[in-house]
Amino acid sequence: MRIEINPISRIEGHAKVTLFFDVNGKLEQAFFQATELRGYEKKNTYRNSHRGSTKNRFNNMWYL
Amino acid sequence: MAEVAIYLASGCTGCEMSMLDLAEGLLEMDIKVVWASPTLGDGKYKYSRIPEVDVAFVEGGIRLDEQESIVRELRRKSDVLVAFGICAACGGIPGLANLHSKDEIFESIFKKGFTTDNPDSTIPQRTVVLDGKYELTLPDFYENVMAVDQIVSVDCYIGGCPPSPEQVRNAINKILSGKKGWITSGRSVCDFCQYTVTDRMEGVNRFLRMSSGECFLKQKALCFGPATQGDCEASCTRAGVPCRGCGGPLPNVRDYGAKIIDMLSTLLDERGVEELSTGYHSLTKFIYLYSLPSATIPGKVRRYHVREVE
Repeated sequence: MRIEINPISRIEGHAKVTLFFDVNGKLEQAFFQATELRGYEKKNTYRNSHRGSTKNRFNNMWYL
Repeated sequence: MAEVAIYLASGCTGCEMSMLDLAEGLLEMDIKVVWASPTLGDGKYKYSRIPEVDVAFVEGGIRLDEQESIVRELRRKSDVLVAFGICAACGGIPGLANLHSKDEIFESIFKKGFTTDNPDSTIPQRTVVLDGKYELTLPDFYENVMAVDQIVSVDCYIGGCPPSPEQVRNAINKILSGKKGWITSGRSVCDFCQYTVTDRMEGVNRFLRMSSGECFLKQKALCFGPATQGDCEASCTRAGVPCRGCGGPLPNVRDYGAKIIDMLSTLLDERGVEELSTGYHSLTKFIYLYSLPSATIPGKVRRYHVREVE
């Protein structure tokens, strides 16, 4: 059996948890996925730090 | 009492936190939050669990197909859809990614990142099957970031990154009383700024020295105050930092960056324009810091796009 919790609500940001149970209802495997992506490494290229920061817009899940 | 849904699309939760910063002021307002996801409440993305509401707040732009489908569902089930914050209204800082393709972003993160440990060069797939039996899915990642009004029709817009709690309070009261369009006083940042705006820039400096108690434009620093909504009550210039335009365009302005160029063309002489073009080598990422997806050219036009047209 497969249960998908989307989104999970105890973090600030988007993520989902997928749980897999076997026939006896025992948890077999659990997966955590962060679903959001921003690309700050690429976006901040050629930007100078004094010209309006984007750093305070980072979210704890998405600074990838 | 108006029933409210709050949805975080591609935002950073800043606007929702600003709403929470109202503290007991939130209780005095005539609203009842019935569905909120993912931060303010425990709502899930199942369509059947999204109730019919009077007002739906969407925070953040649209980047994933999941976000697009939820926003379309909220539009169907709400009377008034509010683009809450500059990301939802104009695209915001995530919209800067429009200057890079999806492949470039994936490569910079999953192949060439400083801390990336990925010898097989695996990039995220829409569906992946692990160990032959665990099927996992991810939402589809769009090529461009879009503002909410590029997907569905939007009734009200609130600017700010994030809007101040006082601005949120005024905006919610105005929305409940039936106001549409940009919820703003219609006055620019310069109206609230403690300095008197200048009508002449002597040049453009790349660096700002310590503020000397004059208009930033007079100190040769680029400040976007004259073209930006002042509902923040000029909080940045009061703290000694030039305005960067998070309030969004004044009403009836479609392209914010073009308005900034318009403003600079009247302020600068030829030498100033030259300094601007030599000193600022990524001007797009500067003047469109908060509004690139809503611009007339909403991103980098790449060669393969042109080929498709042919």
